[in-house]
Amino acid sequence: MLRLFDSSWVTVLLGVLLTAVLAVLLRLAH
Amino acid sequence: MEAILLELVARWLHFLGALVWIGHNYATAVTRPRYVPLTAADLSDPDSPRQQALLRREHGMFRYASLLTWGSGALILWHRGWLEAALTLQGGLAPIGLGMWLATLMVLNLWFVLWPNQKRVLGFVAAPLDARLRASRVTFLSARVNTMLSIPVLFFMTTGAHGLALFE
Repeated sequence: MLRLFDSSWVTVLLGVLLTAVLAVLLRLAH
Repeated sequence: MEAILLELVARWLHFLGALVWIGHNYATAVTRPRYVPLTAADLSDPDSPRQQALLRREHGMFRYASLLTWGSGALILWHRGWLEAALTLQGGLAPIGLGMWLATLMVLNLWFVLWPNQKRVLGFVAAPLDARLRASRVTFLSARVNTMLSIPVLFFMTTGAHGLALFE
């Protein structure tokens, strides 16, 4: 699982996915 | 006038600090895109004062830049009387508040996960070779977590100023 982070592309992808999830949650909360 | 100047300077320092700190992470992600395990030959020579001084400067620079970035961001919110509402994710301050929570995790990760391990990797504190090599894996993962978290933080920093309509 931690090996996922071994590529910086995966880091960026996870960052974008996290952004999308948090943005949707924030939108739903308002 | 003074109030505007204070906020302008704080915002300027906030950007500068963030560039020094997160720029270091991004530069590493670009120059070393894949994890390559360290070997004994990669570790710095503990007997080289020049190497040690350079490493201390490099690592001290972005570590303290993180405090400047966090502190100037908190100062801006506090100065506007927004800090509490932001941290409790109220209304239009929720995006920047969420950004601040994520950034707080990043500062804690840097100071309390990465740095204690980095000290071992770089030889600032004595540790056996296998412990230093293990610590280098932790520092890599810790840095990558911060790189990942910086992406939503930048999004919510931007949203607080330019995209609030999306969340209201």
